Amino acid sequence: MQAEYKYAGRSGIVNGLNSANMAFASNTLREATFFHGELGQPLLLREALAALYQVVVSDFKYRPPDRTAFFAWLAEQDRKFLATIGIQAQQVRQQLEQLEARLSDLDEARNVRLKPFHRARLQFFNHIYENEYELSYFLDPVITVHPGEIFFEAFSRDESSYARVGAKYEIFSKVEQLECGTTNIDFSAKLHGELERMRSYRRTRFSVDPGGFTVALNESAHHEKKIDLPDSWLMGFLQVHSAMTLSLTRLRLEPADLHAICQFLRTHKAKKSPRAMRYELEPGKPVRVVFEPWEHTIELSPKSVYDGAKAQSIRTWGRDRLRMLGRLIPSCRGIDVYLAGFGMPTMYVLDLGPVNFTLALSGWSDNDWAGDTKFHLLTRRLTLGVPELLRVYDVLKKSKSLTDSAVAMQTGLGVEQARSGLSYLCQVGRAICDLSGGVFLHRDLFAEPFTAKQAAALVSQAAEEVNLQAKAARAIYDAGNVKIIARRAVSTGFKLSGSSKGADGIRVRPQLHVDHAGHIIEATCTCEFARKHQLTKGPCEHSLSLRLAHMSRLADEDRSVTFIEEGSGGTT
Amino acid sequence: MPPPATHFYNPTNTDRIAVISVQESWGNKDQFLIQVARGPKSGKLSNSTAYGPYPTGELADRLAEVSRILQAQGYLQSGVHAALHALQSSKAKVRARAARLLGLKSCKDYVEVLIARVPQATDDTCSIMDALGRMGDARAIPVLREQATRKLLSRRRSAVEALRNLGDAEGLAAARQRTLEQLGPKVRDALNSADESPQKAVESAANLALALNGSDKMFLGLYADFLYEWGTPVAVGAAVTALGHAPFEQAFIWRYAKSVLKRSMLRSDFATFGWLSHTIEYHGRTATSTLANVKSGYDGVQRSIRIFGFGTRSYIRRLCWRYLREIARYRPDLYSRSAAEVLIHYSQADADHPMGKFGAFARCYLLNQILYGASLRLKIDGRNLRTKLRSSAAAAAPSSVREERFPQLWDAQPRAYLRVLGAAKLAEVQAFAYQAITQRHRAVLQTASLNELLPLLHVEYEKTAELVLEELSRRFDPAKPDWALLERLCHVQHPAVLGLAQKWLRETAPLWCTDVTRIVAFLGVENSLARLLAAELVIAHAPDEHSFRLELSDRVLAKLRAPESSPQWHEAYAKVGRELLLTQIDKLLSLDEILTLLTSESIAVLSVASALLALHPEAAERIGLEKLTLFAQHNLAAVRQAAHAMIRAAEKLWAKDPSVLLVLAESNWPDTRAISFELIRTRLAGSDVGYNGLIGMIDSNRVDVQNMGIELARKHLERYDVSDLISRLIQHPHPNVRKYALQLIERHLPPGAEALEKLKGFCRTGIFDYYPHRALKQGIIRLLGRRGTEDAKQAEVASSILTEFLHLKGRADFEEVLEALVRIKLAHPQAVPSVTLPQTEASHAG
Repeated sequence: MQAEYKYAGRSGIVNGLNSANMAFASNTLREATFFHGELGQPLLLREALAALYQVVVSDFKYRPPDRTAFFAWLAEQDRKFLATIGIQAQQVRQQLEQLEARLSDLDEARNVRLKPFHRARLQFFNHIYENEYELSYFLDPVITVHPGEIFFEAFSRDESSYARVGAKYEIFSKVEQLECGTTNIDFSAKLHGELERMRSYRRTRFSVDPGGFTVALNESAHHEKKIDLPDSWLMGFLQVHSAMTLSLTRLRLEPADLHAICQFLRTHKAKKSPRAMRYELEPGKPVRVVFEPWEHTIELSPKSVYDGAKAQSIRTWGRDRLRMLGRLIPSCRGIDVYLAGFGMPTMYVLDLGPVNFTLALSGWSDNDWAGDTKFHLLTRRLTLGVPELLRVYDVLKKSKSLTDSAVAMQTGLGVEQARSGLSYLCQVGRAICDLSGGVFLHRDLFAEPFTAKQAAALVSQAAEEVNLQAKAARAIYDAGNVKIIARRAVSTGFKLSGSSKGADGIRVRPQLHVDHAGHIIEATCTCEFARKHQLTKGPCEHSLSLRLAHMSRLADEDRSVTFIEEGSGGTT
Repeated sequence: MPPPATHFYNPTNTDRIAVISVQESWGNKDQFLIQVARGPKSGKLSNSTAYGPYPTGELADRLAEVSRILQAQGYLQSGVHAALHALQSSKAKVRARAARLLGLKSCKDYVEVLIARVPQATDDTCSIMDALGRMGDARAIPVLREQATRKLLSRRRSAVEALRNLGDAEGLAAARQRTLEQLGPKVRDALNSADESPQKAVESAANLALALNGSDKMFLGLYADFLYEWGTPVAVGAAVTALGHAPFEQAFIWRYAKSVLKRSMLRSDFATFGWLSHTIEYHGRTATSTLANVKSGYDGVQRSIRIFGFGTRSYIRRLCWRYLREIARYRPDLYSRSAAEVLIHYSQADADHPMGKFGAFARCYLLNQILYGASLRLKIDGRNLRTKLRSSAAAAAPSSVREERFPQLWDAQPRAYLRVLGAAKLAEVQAFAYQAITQRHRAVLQTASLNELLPLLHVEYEKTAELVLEELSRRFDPAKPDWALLERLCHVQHPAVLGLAQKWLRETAPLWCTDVTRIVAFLGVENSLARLLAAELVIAHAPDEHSFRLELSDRVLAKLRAPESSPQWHEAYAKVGRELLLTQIDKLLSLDEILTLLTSESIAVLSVASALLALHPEAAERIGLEKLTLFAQHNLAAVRQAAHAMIRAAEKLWAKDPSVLLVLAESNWPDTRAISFELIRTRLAGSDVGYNGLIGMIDSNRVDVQNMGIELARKHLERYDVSDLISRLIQHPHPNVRKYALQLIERHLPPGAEALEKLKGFCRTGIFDYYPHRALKQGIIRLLGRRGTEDAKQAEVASSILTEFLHLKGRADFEEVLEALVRIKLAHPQAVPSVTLPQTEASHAG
């Protein structure tokens, strides 16, 4: 997908003696979105945006070192060795050794002579990196102006980390005018440098405006970017919110806990596998974090006491990415950690007061958000018509921020249907899930309006079950090859055990733990796929078919309850 | 050198053998005697007659006269009698061989005989036409033109090539017209639009080859043969390029590749012959043959034939060597040229893994025949065409023995060695030519033109380059320099030549540095190192005469004003301009013109303009501080330096309002920042940059600017409100400033809990810093511990901050925090809430 950005001005900060003007140039190709206000607590925003920038430029993907020079050297050594084998004469050998020594001296002298050149070249490359590279490679963050807050969202360069900075209006001492909407902002390394100069003793104006600094700088700042937006980036942006709607295990940490984790990661570099970071959760006890392969344990502060029902150990990978939060530790009051499970994404929500910072990490660094993990399969889906979906969208767009039950109330749909609708909208970039507030927010990731046609496409796509596992699950369910053996209501939802027979004719035993909304919390199965990948590549078709059977039974129960309620209403 | 002896034969005479030989006249090297000896056998020649002596110029006519006399007596050249007899044979093979012999001997007397044979010829038609072409007699043209219209490839090929050898433009034009009609449209269009001029020939050939490769692959070979028949350099180049990558094992390619090879032999196109013979041999080592159903153009029958099979490949390799041998015998003056064209194509890619007596190049048949055909230590197997050592003991080549075939022919035409030396890729071949030139034919090198010598420098064989450099050195006399040669060498991009050119430039510097035209020429040569050296020499040797320098300045300025012909072409002129002629150029230019030069895209010109600008510090006012600030942040160091000089001189402009120095202090360039710091330190020593300026500097993200600000703050601290300064510094995100902030806090923080409360963020940042500074951490903990003991309110604030740090995992941190807390608790027990320590930490605390 070709992403086009057109800015009428440049983003920047003009720092005066007593006042500063911070202006973000917004993408003029998108709907008119603007905000003008004055920052009351600029330091908090400075720290949060600095951390956001760290995420934007981060790239933790493993790239094998370039060993061309080493292999060339190795080949040269081989050649020399072979050459000396044939030389019998002592005199020739000595002469060769002298020449080698001379050559070595000359090489050294050359290196010394070329040192300034190499240094200058390095400086040049750094200059290019800072000034040119970002023009074509950085994916500009998305900014959304909401009635209650402004939030910035961005993906890291390796597409494995998602960050969101939400700034509530309490951070502004004055809000002058605003127009809600979503747009891209021009975010550069230079701007990051300027952000570092934000201080509370300067009156700082904050504006998101198409013009940016065109007038102020009196220069032709009009510029455009055309970035070939990777599909994975787009998919990742959508998947991350699907992951957030899953049933997640929540922990509460103190800043000192995160500091201890980051410090350990900074000072220790694992040279061999396993490199997981394990959360050891025991009911009523503080959480313990174990670093592999050293098995080094950090017991977190008493605030992190786990209140779950049973002990569990959750392994997460790509732990070095947590270091991106280092800058925020002094400013934050507490950290909420959301764990999806073994090898699954983790979310860290940092509470900075009026600002919150969400960092969502994929299962591991090399696994971007658009990888094999199909989080939307873990969420439950009810079949929804186009009018219902559009109704959910319209209600959310109007109110901007709603809980699922509020959406249900305003649309007249059942809560389950409202949740499904919201889940669809998250999946197509029309809504996001705010973990810190526990609400859904309206946010159009795309400039094009959400039309009935798109809604119809989405619904029919969902009905078609494009994913292989989902298709297979539907086939199992339709063929009546799945049955629920045991179904037990627990405080968090239902625990199910069943029997399912796939296309291969082998009957397997899926076991599910789903919440009240139908989201899969845990899933195991005796099939090969589940044994091999657990949930890292999404649930297997047997687990999904068991959920379908459960949902079907739940819908029957819902109907009967509704009928009773309606019947009782009529008689009163 | 006298011509070789000619043998004659008369079967009807008693003395059947007659031999004409030429000998030098005794005592006179320029005079020759022609001797005619007769006898019944070649070993029994007795009846001898001598004619002459004749001078060299007359010798050929006299020889012809003596031959005619013998022919009148019934003698014919040896072999001709038999050939004429064989022409009457019933076997086409015998007749063909006879016709071929007559052609090779160029016996024009029998042209009519051969023409008469054409109508009833069968398989010998091609040989007869080839012979007619070689004889070069125009009487054969009508019959050849008729044959050139034949559809059969072999007939058409022989006829057209014979017409070409006879120089029949009309016949060739008709043949070309027929070719044009049969070419595909794309190739035809490309051929029609090809530009044959030498400047465009390469490009046109590439375009034509592109069109050829773009056509149907099944017709690639056919079209390549057509183009080769067309015969112009562009068409031949395109045909060769297209065939270079074609699969010879395919029938639709091989038939025509073979045809091109035969045409090259008939046409004596040794370049194509050498390339194709090597290519066939090279491909033959790896390619596998294929089976194809091929319809014969001869009898129209379709047969399954193996294409490019082992037998065919061996036949072609033998044919090529036979061809070279025939040249050696019948056209000896051409042998070395043709052999050289074959040798130059061999490279390391032809090498195999040596095994036993077989060397790395054992399978390179033609190479071995040419280079080692006369060797006694090597044996060339006529069946499998491989070469091996007769004995392992004789692996090393004897230095005194010549092993190449036909050494006398190489010696007769030694210029072929130059071709080998300049184009051969294989060290063995290079060594062969190198040895010949150094030991026997040095004159070849001495008479070679510069155009012939310079390409020899680029060959991989080091000795060749040394040889050429030696020859160039021999030709150059520093006392009477050959300026054209020197200038030419300065344009060559070769390290060895550059060294030589630089040496000569140095040696002759006193001569050319007095000549303005020559200086300007050397400053503009292509080799950048040579022109930079020239610039240095000019700077060192140019005479200090006003008129000379003025003239040189004028010329250099003109060059600088002209656009650069190649990147950095201005650099040598600019160097001379900057370092030698700056004052003269300055006199030639006004300030406006200098400023105009500053808009140039050439870096070299910018450097000169900057140096000129630096001569005018008084112009700073006219240029203005705003522009100077821009110049001081220019990407080019020279421009910045000029701006620095002007800013230094323009103290009047910024003394009152030093904000420009603060702008420069934030420059991306360290040199500009350094100038700014220097001026702030030295020129503003008595005053300061003001509180806002100071805060601006400390607020910077650059450590050196922060340090400058801190230095100023330390110097003039008494002038500022320290509490306010502290409140500002604690917000700085950089650790460098935090250290200074802590120093100020320790000394100047006002008493009371209110001031301490404001430091909460600073303390958290210092302690929770991701890259912690131990001294800073300890300082903060000490500060909190100390202030916490002062009064109850401060104890409350300090303990609330310290309690957060209790969960730090560093043992030292924990202990220090705990100690501070204990002290506070002891001093003000009621102000500090009780603290619960985790199990592990409590055990640490002991």
